[in-house]
Amino acid sequence: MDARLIRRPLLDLASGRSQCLLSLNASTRRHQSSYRRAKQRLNVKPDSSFLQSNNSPQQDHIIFNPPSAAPSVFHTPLKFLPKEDKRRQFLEATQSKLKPNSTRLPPLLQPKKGVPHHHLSDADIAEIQRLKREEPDQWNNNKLARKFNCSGMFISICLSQAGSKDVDQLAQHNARLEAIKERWGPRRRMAHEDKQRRMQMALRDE
Amino acid sequence: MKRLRIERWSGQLLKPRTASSRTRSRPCCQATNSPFNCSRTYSSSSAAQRRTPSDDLIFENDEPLEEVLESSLPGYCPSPPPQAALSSAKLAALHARLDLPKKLPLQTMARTLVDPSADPNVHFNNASLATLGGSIMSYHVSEWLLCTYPRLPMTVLFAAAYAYNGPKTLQLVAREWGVETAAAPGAEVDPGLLQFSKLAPGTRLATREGGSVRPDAKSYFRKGISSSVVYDDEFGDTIPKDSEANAPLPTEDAYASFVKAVVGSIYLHAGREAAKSFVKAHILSRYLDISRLFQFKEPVRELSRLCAREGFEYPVARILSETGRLSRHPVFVVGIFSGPDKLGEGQGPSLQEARTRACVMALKSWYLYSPGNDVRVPSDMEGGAAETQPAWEPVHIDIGEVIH
Repeated sequence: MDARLIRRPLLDLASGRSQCLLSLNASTRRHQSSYRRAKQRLNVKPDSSFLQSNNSPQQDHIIFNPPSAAPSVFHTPLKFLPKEDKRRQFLEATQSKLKPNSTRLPPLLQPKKGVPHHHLSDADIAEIQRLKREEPDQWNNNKLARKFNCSGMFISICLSQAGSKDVDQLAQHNARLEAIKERWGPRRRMAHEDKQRRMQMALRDE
Repeated sequence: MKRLRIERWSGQLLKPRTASSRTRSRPCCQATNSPFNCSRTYSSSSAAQRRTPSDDLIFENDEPLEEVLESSLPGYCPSPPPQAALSSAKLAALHARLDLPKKLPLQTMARTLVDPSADPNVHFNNASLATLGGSIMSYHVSEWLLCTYPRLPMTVLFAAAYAYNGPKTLQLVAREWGVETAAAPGAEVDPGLLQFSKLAPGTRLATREGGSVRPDAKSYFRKGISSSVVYDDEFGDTIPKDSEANAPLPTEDAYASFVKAVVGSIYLHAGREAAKSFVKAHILSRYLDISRLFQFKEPVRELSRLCAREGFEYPVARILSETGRLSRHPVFVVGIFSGPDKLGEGQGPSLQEARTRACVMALKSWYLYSPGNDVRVPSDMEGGAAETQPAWEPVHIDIGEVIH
């Protein structure tokens, strides 16, 4: 137990991470007598993209290898360039060189639901509107979408044209939401406000 | 036939009236060594009637002296006479500091510093020069913006034009030139100071309910951008209806009309090219980050409408990389892809925010397309340049904003 306690500060000393005049590690001691050893230990091979290889051109050339950073809005993607722009061929040449070999694209943000489109008739739409009108509490949009095997957006479009928008029900729904928000503590409320502010900042690209 | 002597006729208008020719109907006070005694020479070519000064003001009888307004005294000049411009150190220094052409005389420079609120006479204030110079300046600014960023939305174009030659910017420019204001206008003021009647602080400005020159002001419920292009001024602001020409004005408007008047006077004395290079050197050389002027409402919808309009594949969002999904501070990097091509990339702490930022970035890279910073503008082909320069290639004209 005692040996372990003593060993730990010595280990800190030996690793050279602590700031101490007496340090035992070669990387923290720089004297002319230890220069040779320090230089050997600090020898790090650079990345292969910075070195010349068999494929690199024989004449003088520039190695362009910028660090990864967010792309700039002033660099127009090739697809957005107008057809008469003179830089089009250069950008095509650069893109063909830098394009990754695999054609597999990154995964989708919202995986496709596989819901069919354009398969509902007028009778189905009338049925949707009737169900919502007669039993608004039981049939919400998600249930209707599952029943008719379509997207929730389509249900919203059908119902927005039905005239079945109940002002009272909307007020009730909003009142319920307000009651829930009243029960939030200060942290939850601030987190919610921060999220809304962040979305506004994202729209302004700040 | 006798030759017509026009200079003789205008000379009659310029001659001052002597005391013997005046009537003695009203009492006046003695003013032998009046500092306002001035016989003014004109800097413009056209002759005009001017209130002529008179030397001797004689007591008529021993009636009590009435309170005489300084401005009603004959001999009163609201702004310094033109010959005072030749002895003003400030004015000469300003002329040299701006490296103005030698053809531009100091008298005209003095005139550019006099606002209509200081001197209502149109031959001695800068109203006409400011109108001319303002048109030239806004023409060069807008043609540069339209040629350099052909796809800018109209609101952003208005904002960028305001940033380059709006009143606040022109005030900064004039202050950088070292032009200071006179406390109050008058004839004894140094001609190198900007003279104007300052609007009293706390005055209620004429707001929109006072009426504007728009013919549809009472019938619309929302002002559209296209109507702004037709009815409003160069920055998209409504032009108010009752605007008195010689009313007191804020400092920034006085500075703005001074800068415009300088451009106008350069155009008049030194020509079109000199005015254009002056605007390029002082106004268009300023740095503006146009990418910060954008604000979007529904970027996802707008981007999908853009791709549909241009015939690109439907844009989908893909996760390029992510970390810490279940932690308190996740980072998602999302890219918008149209087929195999990436249009934009954005990162955020939630999937929705990252997707929004990616759409905003894609839309901005569409709108901020530029053929280059030194693209040729139409005014480059004016004058004799059509022979020396290569043939004019049309600039890119965009179809317009994305309607969504």
